[in-house]
Amino acid sequence: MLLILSKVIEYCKKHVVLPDGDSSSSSREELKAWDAEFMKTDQSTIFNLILAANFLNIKNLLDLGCQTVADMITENQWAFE
Amino acid sequence: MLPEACIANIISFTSPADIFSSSAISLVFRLAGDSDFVWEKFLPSDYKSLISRSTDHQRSFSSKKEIYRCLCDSLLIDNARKLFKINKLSGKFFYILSARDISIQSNDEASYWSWSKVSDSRFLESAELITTDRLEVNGRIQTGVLSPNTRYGAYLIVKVSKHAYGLDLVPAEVCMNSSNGRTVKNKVYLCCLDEKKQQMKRLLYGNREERMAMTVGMVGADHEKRREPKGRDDGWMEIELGEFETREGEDDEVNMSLTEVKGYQLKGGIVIDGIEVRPKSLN
Repeated sequence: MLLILSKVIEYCKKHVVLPDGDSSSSSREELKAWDAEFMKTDQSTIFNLILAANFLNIKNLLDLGCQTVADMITENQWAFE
Repeated sequence: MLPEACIANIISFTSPADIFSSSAISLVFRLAGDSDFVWEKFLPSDYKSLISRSTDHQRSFSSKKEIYRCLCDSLLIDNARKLFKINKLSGKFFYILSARDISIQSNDEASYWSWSKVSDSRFLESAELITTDRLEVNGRIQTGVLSPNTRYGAYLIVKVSKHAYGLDLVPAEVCMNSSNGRTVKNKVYLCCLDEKKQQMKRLLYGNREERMAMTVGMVGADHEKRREPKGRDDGWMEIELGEFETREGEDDEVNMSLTEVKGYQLKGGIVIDGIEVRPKSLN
């Protein structure tokens, strides 16, 4: 659980939007690449991240987690545990 | 395990085919797979307007999934001048514009075109060419009503009647033009090659055909490159007019046309049902 919370905080820090509207230094492509790396983890962590984002109402993280799982389903890598 | 709302969010990022197959996994998947939240994502943004413009506008629906299924069975809209359909498994949209909805030169002149119900047509009327020396057919569609980020092809749906003439002499020119400036042209014959007839013609009219081929720049084109109508599953033939790509957030006008005006010979016997705009490859 502590691991999940720290990952959520890590995600939020990376995706902070500054008051003047620009996102933190990284460009969109860099952010997408970072998100892809962030999601390279085991299924149970991904599910826990989805649950956490759902509970904490963090839409971007929820959509990222769901999209990752959806991509696995589409590519048939899903093994329902 | 994940709650139903999260499962619904996950499967809404997959395709209708995956949603239908995942409904068999467990009760949670089945409930998520039946939810309005998921099916709303696969409906066209203007679905309410499409239903109100259809011949079935009084119908009421109990769920978004039911609306999706109804749109997969195809919907006649705008006084039955257009047909809208969703491919059930991929979720991609297609349109068929009827012959009344496209612009055919001199189509209201009774001596050039006759309009009647053809038995296997999806529309009330199809146009049969009686005779003309200039064949010009134009259709247009907005990319905003189609599925985004998809490669579409446009096809003229035709039949060639038994008493057709003048269609195989010279190829027609097809052109796709979108408002973002891209234009692509090509040449295609209006009917398929009949070998026996070709042999007879070569004997009698060989030179004349070569001269005509020169007027449309077909000199040197060999038999293998001849583009012809292809058969369809519904008993009609189709002539490819071209292709274009749709992009998310863009709404361009695409003009699709077929013209045969350089041959000058009289032609007749081609029946036009409309223009189909469908995704190029459906996995």
